[in-house]
Amino acid sequence: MDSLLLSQYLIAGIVIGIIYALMAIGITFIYSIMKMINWSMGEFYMMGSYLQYFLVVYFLGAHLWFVGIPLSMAVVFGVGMIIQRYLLRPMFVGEMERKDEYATVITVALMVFFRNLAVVLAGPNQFAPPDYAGPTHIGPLPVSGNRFVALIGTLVILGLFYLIVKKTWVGKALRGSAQNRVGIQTAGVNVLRVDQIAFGIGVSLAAAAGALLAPIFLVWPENGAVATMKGFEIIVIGGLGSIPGSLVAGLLLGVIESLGSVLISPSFKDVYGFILVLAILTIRPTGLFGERQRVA
Amino acid sequence: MSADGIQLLETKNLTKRFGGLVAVENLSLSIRRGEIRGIIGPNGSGKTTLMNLISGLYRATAGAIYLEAQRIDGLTPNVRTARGIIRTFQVPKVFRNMTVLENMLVPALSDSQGDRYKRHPEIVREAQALLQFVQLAHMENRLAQTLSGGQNQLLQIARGFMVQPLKLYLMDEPFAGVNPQIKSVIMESIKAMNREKGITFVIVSHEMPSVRRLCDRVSVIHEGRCIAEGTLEEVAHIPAVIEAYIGG
Repeated sequence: MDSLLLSQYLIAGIVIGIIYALMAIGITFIYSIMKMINWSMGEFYMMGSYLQYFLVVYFLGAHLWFVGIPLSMAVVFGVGMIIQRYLLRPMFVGEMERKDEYATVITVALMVFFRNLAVVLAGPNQFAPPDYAGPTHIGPLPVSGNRFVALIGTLVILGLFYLIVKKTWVGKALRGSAQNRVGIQTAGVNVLRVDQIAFGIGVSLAAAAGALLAPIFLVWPENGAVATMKGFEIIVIGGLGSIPGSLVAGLLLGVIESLGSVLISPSFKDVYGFILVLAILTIRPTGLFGERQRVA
Repeated sequence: MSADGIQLLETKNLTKRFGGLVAVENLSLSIRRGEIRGIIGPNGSGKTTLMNLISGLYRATAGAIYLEAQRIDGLTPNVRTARGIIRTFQVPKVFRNMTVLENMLVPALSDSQGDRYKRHPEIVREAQALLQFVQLAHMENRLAQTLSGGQNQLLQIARGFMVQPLKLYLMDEPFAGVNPQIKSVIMESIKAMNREKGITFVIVSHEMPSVRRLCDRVSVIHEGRCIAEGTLEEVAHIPAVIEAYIGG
């Protein structure tokens, strides 16, 4: 095989892998703090893609697409905060025993609700926002402009996310809450507020992925389903609750899918990821970076 | 500092049930400001549940808790901390992936410390001084996960002193599993903070020599009820206490 073509697929895999990782980081971030899986993550991705589409097409214009991304993230952040406050917070108030079950019921219901809401509001059709950029090159390799923009956008967002988590007081509270919920609560921190911020940040990362990928995977009511599936695959591979794990696993999944498509067959693209998931589960059930949970 | 006779904490007919199990039953306690009170009792008698009720981790099934005559049993743990109640745990609740100094700064994250951005250098200096006080200053940049169990207990205790205002310090088995040197640092810290800052301590412990050296009075808890109160010497002769420890 032509080494140039192989490099091209490798780059394509890395690009898509990093963007998948954004989704996975959102899921794992919420899990690490609230100890719940948000099954409606794909719908926040979908919401981000719709917001970006409508902002770019009806308000900002194609040349200001990059303004649409933080705006979409901000709106979804707000929606996430409201949802957390009124639908998820009740499980932490009082002494509910099966919080995970409560969260599953609520987030699955949200998934169904938002998908149907999108159909009601915008119809079942697919929308395509204008391209963010024309074809470009990474070194000698030609790359789709939209994918390149999505890669750069993702790296910027991940950089900001890192700075918030590592360098700010809010970030310290988020990290503290992830490491020891009872400890931070009894040190005087309002853990319910921390949950709300974490949920908002987590879903806004999904919205960013939706907005960045809108010209590639288009905008329609169920466009978040694939991204969510990839997000969960990445979490199993990287380890639930591990942010570095999500990044590495995202890259690994993207590259394996991409190389599998070129070396074997593109028809089984999704199968390669599942084979990787099964292999990791067999060798290391907690994922590459996951920690074994201590009981009692 | 000796107790000034004014009640700081009161529990009235406090009860906590877990299904059919009664962990704390009609427990009434009264702690004076500036006192160092020991809470003793056999394993499973309800001491830690009592700590969880006062600190807000558990909601009481019945009864009331008052801090400075104001009812606090409906408040969340962080609001109780803002009112001046801090606690430690038998297994230290430290933030393993943060440095020792970062652990010390966690109480400054609370909503009640709204001026933390302005006061950041001062907060850091305060944290470093406390680390010096508990002899952990040389470890301030180490991750908490690299510390021994005893050092983590010290770190947890020192972190509690960062809470402002601090009125009542609840300690759950602070001497369990720590070496004599660390035990002595913990005891000195408690005595100094009580003497110099007037902080009231409620200490759950099985370590009778430490309780004897530290505590003005002890309350003996058995099967969720307070069966005796007084100095350690006084309660040691009460038949109900002897029976609780030896078994009837």
